[in-house]
Amino acid sequence: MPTPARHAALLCALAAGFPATSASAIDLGVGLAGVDGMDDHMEPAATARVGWTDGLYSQAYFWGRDFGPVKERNVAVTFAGEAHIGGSPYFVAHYGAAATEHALALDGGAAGVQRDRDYNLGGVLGLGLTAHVGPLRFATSWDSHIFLTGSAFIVFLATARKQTVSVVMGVDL
Amino acid sequence: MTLGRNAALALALAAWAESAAAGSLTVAIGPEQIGNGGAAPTAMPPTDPFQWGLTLVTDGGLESTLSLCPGLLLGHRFKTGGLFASAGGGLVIDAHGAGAGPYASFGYESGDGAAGVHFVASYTQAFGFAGKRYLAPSSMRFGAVWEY
Repeated sequence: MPTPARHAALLCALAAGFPATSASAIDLGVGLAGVDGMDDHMEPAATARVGWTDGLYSQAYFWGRDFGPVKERNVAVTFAGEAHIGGSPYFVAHYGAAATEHALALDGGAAGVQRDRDYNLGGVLGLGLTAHVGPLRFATSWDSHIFLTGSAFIVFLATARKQTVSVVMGVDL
Repeated sequence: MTLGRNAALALALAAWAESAAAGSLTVAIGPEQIGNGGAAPTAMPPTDPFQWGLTLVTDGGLESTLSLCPGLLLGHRFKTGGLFASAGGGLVIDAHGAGAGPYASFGYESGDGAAGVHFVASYTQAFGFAGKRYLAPSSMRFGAVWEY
């Protein structure tokens, strides 16, 4: 299955797990993000957000680069809840699940294209600020996508992480 | 001006000491991420100082963290039952240096706030700048919290 179709299918399957209460609770938004892969180097990314209800949302991050014969394409998808903290209508904590797909393609010329694809499932924790101006919704977030690193977690509690910061502008539908 | 600044500092310290009369003290260890790539397993034996953290939380919610990763932090803890989220700032430290920046922490404490020693698990992310260098350390820790 082509990668975009697989991503769409993944989004639809996971979105189906959330009980959207009414059409008016849904919000859509797009924005800019940065993704850090544990090396203090932030890569630019595009992001899209769907709010399913007042407390549940999904956010996807898309980033990658071309480096000579190497093409890198990455996707991270978050399915999370938002809990207002400190009694603030703007300040929220994020908690939920995250999934990533990392795809590498090496163009070897006459030898063909060598492809590598990795998937990961984990959790997400973070903070956010949300605000409404009429039908417009502004959301910023600072999240960590945390992944266990294989069986080593059992003994050594090893973890991997992608930290994201994002700014999203959207509308309430 | 110096006298006024010292007086303000003394008042702040007195207020902190007063609120520190009750609270909790956490000692925890776990894998850290200090900006050098890759996943960090918890050291066995646990001798890596970057993996240890000491956190003092007052009844008023003032949270002070002493650690080499993600750094020396001061913030406010918001609690809902055993779950908590914290936000604040401080001196953020990782393999590429140290600089000022914000932090956020999330976790769970058993015991429902009752006095005694309980289990605690937390994840802390931080963000800072050392000159033009961007820092993004984080830590996941498990340990014991003493509620007093």
